[in-house]
Amino acid sequence: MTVKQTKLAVGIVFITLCIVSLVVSSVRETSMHYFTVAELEAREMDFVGKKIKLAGKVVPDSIIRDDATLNLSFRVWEPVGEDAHTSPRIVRYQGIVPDTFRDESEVILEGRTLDNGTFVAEHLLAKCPSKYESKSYEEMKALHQDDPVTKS
Amino acid sequence: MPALGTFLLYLALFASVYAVIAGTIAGRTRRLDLILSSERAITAQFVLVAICFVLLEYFFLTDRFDVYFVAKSSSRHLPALYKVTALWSAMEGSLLLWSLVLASFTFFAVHIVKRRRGPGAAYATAIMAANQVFFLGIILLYENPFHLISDVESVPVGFAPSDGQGMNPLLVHPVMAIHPPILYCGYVGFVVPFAFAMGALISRNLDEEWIRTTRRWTLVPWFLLGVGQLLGGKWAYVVLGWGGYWGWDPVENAALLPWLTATAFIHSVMIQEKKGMLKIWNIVLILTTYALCIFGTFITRSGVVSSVHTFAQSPIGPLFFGFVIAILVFSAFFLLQRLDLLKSEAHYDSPVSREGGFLLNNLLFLGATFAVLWGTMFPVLSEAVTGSKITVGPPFFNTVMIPIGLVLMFLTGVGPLLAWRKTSPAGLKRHFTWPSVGVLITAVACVGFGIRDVYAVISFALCTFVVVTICSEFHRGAVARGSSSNEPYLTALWRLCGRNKRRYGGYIVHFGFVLLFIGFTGNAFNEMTEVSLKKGDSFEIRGYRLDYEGYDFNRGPMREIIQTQLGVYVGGSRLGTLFPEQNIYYKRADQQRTTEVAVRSDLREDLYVLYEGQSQDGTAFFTVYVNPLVMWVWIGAWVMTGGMIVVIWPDKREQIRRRRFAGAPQTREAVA
Repeated sequence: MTVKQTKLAVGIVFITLCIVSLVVSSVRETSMHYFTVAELEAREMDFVGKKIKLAGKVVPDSIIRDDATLNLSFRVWEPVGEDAHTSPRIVRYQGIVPDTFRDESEVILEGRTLDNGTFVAEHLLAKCPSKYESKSYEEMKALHQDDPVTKS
Repeated sequence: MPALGTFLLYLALFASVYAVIAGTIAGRTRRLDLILSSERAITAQFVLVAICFVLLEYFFLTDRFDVYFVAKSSSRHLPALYKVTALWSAMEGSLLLWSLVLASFTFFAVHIVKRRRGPGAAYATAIMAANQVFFLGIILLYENPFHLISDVESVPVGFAPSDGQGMNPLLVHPVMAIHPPILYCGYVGFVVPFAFAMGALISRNLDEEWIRTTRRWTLVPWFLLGVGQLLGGKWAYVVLGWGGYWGWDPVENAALLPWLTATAFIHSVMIQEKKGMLKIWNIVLILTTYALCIFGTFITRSGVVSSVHTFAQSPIGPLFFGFVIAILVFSAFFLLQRLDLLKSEAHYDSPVSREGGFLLNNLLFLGATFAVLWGTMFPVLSEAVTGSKITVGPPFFNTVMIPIGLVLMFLTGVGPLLAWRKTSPAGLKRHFTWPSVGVLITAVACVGFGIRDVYAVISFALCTFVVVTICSEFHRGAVARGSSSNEPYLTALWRLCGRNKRRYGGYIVHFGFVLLFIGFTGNAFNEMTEVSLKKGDSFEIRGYRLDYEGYDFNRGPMREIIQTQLGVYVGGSRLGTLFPEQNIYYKRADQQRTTEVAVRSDLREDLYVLYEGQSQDGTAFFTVYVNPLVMWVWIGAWVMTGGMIVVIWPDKREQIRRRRFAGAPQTREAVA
């Protein structure tokens, strides 16, 4: 290897290391643990007061909102699986919620757990229960049954 | 009729399989009859897929709801234009569109490069056809859009519901009508340079021919992929209503990844063309780009990474992953086999040179690719390794990508001014005095205007730097030309660009990119507030006063529309009225709601108002954003489009040069 090539190699390695260390340090600073409701319950102690993401499903009839202050409280439980519908967790949030937020919506929350177990969310993301692609044929039929316009 | 569609798809599949076999044998044996035969097979699959596409569009336009896919994605009330675009609003149709785009690219590539027939092109034909085999196979096995309802559900044969389920209202938008086709052209277009690179590898014809052949075939998909992403951003901005156009969502990242490697590629091929260096590197870049295109499809369709974009998930995810692996293994095998043929023809001299600039550019683009890929896949990787899922979000991408982006912006200014091989200190001084003055003035002005965000100051300063270098390049060229030919300044400038379309068009693209960057930098100054207002209430944000003047309620055949009215005032004078709306699609089972954002844009900032519903007592909720400089993103996109047109505009002199280079044009006899 000539001196020039060595210099080139050193330069490339140096820049690569810069980028890699930038990525690694950014991950360390900005990453958050992601739990479902049951997973958080299992590891609650380690994460009180730490910023995490929490996924769950809104418990029906649990949404209480105060329109004047935009304060919102509701409960979430495990979306699916064996632990479904056990040990709901109380969530507090302040702000306007998206249209897709309602009973049974799947939500992804970002925030912290308080000592009393309440989850204070700073961000709330609600996935619509339906997807861009929609329902089975049965639902489709039900939908149009009492519709004079499309009945032919 | 629908059965005809399936039948034609099978025929197209067979034609593609035949093209793979004929092309491969033709590449090995150099038999002209087989080359021609494989080209005809390519034409056949193109025509067949196109007929299938038209047939499916016909079913959409004529409301053939006995076809399951039509019933699922369209409805009688949909305007005709959206019946056409409903085809690509869901999986089956979008795969057929993908296949059609692939068929067209293959067809045109094969027929346009006919002049340079040879083993490399024959292999390339086979590889493009192999991709088509994969897509048609998936369509026929898993996602056939021609299935009848009676094939899928237990209803009598030929059953048709009275109406279809309708397209998702979020997708009924002009931008969403063209976003998927453009993005697909971007993704799929890379198959051509990929196939020709592989063809060159397999046939051992590893001069710069494949790069020259596919130059435009790389630029066009690169451009379309970029525009496709911006259109997606525009749609998110005006339809999804979260106040921004880019959220580092996995689905967005999926399209960004191949764009980043492709950008590295279109820069580094210039070194290979001029200096015969970086041959292995370029092949690796184009292979990676195509693999990332397929990988992006895998990410969006498999649901492996959770995303707010709830695309339909289906069993085809793993197949796409397998396809990515197959592409990587296949291309790595041939690359390793041919390494000895890819020796560099020149050596690298100095870091302060055009080569050095391009090299750094490439490293940074690859670094950015790595960062985005790492951030996107991190939740999956961390779960696999540590057992607990750790996510990274927009803060991660912003911390990493802003510095990388700024260095790249700096290089955009520096690179074109550096000489090949080595730049002398005198040259540096001559070229960089004025741009540096521009940087200083901008930085001081920014601080003087009270901008305290360090990145924003650096970004604006670098944008000035690049603009000054670009202008001085045009100016210097025009003066030099004018003094030797005695043309007036503007004529000289015009002819200069005409004679060097690639170079000066490239500068225009860079300029467009600067404008994009100015728009991106505006994000540093975004402001958002949520308010609840009763009729007659008002509130202020950034010097605007908004008065809530009431709402209208309308019930249409498909939806209920609540249209609110807000008067916008600045300093006592009325600027206009905003009408943010909420639509409730009451006929849909899910009662889906959509919001119609009201935006007041000017060059300085966007006032962006979202109506979020109201309570029992008539208090209405609004989210209001002030987003500075957003319009520059869209202006930048238009400037880039203009520059791109200049770059790819056919160049007579280049064609003549090329013919001379290639010797006599290769006719049938020449190959035989």
